[in-house]
Amino acid sequence: MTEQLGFYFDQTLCNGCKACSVACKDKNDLKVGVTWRRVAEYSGGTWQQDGDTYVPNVFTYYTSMACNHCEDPICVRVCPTTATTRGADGIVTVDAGKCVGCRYCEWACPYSAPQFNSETGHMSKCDMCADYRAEGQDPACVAACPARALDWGPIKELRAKHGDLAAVEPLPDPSITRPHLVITPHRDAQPTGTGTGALANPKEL
Amino acid sequence: MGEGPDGIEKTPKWAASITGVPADVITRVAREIALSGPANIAQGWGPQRHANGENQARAIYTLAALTGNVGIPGGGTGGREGYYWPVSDWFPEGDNPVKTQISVFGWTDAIARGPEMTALRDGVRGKDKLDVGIKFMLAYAGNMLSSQHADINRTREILKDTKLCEFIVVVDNQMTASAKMADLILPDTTTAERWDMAPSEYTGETAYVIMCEKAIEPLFNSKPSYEICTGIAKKLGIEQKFTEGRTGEEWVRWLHEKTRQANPHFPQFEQLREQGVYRYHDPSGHQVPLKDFREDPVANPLETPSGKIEIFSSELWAMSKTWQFDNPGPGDRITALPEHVDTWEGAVEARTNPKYPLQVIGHHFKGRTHSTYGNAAWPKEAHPQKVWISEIDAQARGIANDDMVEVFNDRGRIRIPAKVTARILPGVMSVPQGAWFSPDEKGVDTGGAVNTLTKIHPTPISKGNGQHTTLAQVEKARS
Amino acid sequence: MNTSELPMIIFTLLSQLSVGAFVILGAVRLFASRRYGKDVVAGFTDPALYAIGPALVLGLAASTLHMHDVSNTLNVFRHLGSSWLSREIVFGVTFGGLGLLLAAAQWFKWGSTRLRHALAAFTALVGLGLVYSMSMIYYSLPTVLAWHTWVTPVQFFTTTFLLGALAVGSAFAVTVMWRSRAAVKAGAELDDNRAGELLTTCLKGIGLSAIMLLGVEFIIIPLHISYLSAAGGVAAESARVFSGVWFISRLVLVFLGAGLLAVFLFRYASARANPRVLAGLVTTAFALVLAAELIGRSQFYASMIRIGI
Repeated sequence: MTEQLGFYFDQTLCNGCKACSVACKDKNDLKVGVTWRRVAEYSGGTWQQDGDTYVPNVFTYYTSMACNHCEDPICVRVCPTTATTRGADGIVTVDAGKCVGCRYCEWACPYSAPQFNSETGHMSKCDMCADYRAEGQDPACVAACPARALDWGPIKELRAKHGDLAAVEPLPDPSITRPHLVITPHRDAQPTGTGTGALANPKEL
Repeated sequence: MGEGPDGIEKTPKWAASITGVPADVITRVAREIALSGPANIAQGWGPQRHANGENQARAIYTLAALTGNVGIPGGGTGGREGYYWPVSDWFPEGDNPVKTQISVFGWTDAIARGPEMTALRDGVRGKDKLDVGIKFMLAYAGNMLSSQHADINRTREILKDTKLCEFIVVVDNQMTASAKMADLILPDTTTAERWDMAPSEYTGETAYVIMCEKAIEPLFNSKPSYEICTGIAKKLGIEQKFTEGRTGEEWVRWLHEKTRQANPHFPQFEQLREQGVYRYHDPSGHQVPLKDFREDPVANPLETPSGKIEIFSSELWAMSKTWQFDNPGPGDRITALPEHVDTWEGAVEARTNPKYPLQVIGHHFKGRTHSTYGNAAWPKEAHPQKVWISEIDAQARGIANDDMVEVFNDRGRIRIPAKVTARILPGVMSVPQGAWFSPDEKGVDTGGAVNTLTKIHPTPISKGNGQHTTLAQVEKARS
Repeated sequence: MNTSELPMIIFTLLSQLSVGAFVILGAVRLFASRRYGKDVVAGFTDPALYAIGPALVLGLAASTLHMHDVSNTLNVFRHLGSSWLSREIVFGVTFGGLGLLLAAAQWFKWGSTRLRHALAAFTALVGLGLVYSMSMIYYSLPTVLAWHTWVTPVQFFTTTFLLGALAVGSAFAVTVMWRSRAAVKAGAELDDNRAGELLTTCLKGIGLSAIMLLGVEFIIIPLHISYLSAAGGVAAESARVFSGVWFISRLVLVFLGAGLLAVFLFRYASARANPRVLAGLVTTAFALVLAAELIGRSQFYASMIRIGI
């Protein structure tokens, strides 16, 4: 079987600059409104006031997310036309020749990976830069990150090297779709589902 | 400790009340700095950009000196980060025969009331008083006219009065709000359309030079600034003197060759075109500023009047006696010691100003380099301009995250979404600097430029910008 | 009110209305034929049968607006193995096709009555399958907490029979009203009061059903909201959609239509009742409940808040 690919994200290094997001838009010529890689800011905590002084107990961190090319992708499950499929290498792609733009996959995916393109009427999404990979290059987001926080490769290797963590807040329970994602968590990362903070930039996702 | 002229004991408790940092935290941090062996305190550029910012900057230098960190490895002077200055030869600046100088921040004053500006009141150098204000201005790639300078509305008022500054030329490659103030715009090229080289900045013990090779011919009648200046020189009859017979590309080649002669480790020009970047290191290795002074202060005196570090500055003591301030308010004074000075629109005034109770700073923003790229669709989508407001201040005003709000004071009003977050101190807002000024028909800036709110109030010694000292109010936008 | 999903709101309501009307119509024909004879029943119920078709077609047309590339439409049948949407479309097209066949058979008198009854029963089953698969599209998404509960299929079926019943009742009452008006104009008496008796029985049944289904709605709605609110996080955010003026209006409208007017209908329906009043009561009830269901369905789509990012 061909090796199943996935992404690695070192959350301790990410500062939310979104170079990854814009590099992807540049490479794929995506218009405003269609964003295949997005960066979520999750923050929380409080300030204690005592007279004129304040003591902070605050946390914040970023999560860069494209498509996790899941083991059990819900987008593939729900697609009525089989436009969305999973390849032998685990990469999930949308066949624009079959897609009717019903947006069911958009309702389903808890990572907002399938993005609707109003100009073409089809769904579109990260394919881990298949053309770059074919030439031995890294995906655009991985190459663009100034902190070198992103990596890609056979998910088995990524897991052997970095562990098994595939979710922290604001990401969902990984057992739903079994994402091919490994994260090295930020020191303040909140466990998935605990709701101890809040998504700070929902409109940017 | 209460024995000074103001009789106030400067204890951590006193400081806590002004700074908002609890006294025990102040004590703890002070001890950490003092006891942790060498401590490097790098103040960056921020502390000085407040009202009476000079004293803040000096106080930090003083802290480094008091804790014995000057001139030792791992320590520091308290200044901002230093670095190995690149050895690349720069395009020669020539010799300006005019020796009269004003502070950079003083340019709008020089337009509005130039002939009133004096050495003692406005920091004019080279003359006791200006004879004439600024009558002609060539503004190049700065976006100073309606973005980066304080109090945009007042600045535009001054600029629009053609009796004051009579002619404005702007050279830029983007149609900024500043460009729109010009009488004449000369379109500049972008990096890809001209020859250049870019030496390094802020790179520690490493330096580099990047080959910026011209990739395409200039688009749409734009010209590189060198060609613009050559054209002007020609009209003035000094073309040969200006160009020294070289085109832009020839200058780049010639300067590089000059650098290579003095520094043979540099690659040939054609080799540099191949490799793109050339990195090299400080031959002196790790530099410790003022190391020689620390080791032998007598043999290696500083450039101060006494040759020593002057915590009490004799120069400033003299200036405080002779320099003048018109209608001085809080903060408009020069102190020989780096004293804390409550200033106009500062933290203390914020507490008693019911109209404008919130402080405003303007942090450098991820989506732009100052105002550059502030008009590009993708960075704007990735990093929309928002005002940072603490959850406590937002809640008190019924403002939720992403609500459209208006931040305003007597100088102007901006309308942008609110970023309600725990990441900013209650009582403080931040409007990321560099957003493109964009007034609607009512004059409300919908681009969200922080300088719509800031004040043209030069700091006391350098007559510089105190643009992080601003008070304002915020409310949910109606309609 | 959320109007971005208007095609879906219209499609789901009209198709559910069609299925509900068809099933109830079928039930009426089956049981009433024994007592009143099949000709009377046919004459009474046929107009309703023919009205369902256009409703379904309108709904299906609305659903195509939800797609953004109709040129690829034929692909939607490819994923029956795992996609509830594929399955729903098959059920929907089959239901429409069979319904058309049945209507034609009824009009042209093709085949025996028993054959047509069998076809009708099968069509009804397919219709129920349509509503079921439609509800499963939403229920089956573990990532949308507001939809991922048994309330979704229960609400869909409740809507199906609530709208279906009142639509059928309206069709019956209006048919009888027109016929009695035509008879009065022609100067003749309605020779047969069996239609009036049949109408009475139907309307009483419809009124009773509406009251019961209203009861179901008034149980599942608060249960749904409290379950979501208690779960916190995204679920609680979804629950907040069911609040405010629109939500209250929905409850008031469905109460007035399926409650108050249904009670009047139940009590007033009799063979001597004025056909115009009957028609007015039941069509008003239908309109009020349709409005309520429009709001309800709209809020259903508005409650679509996904977990994750």
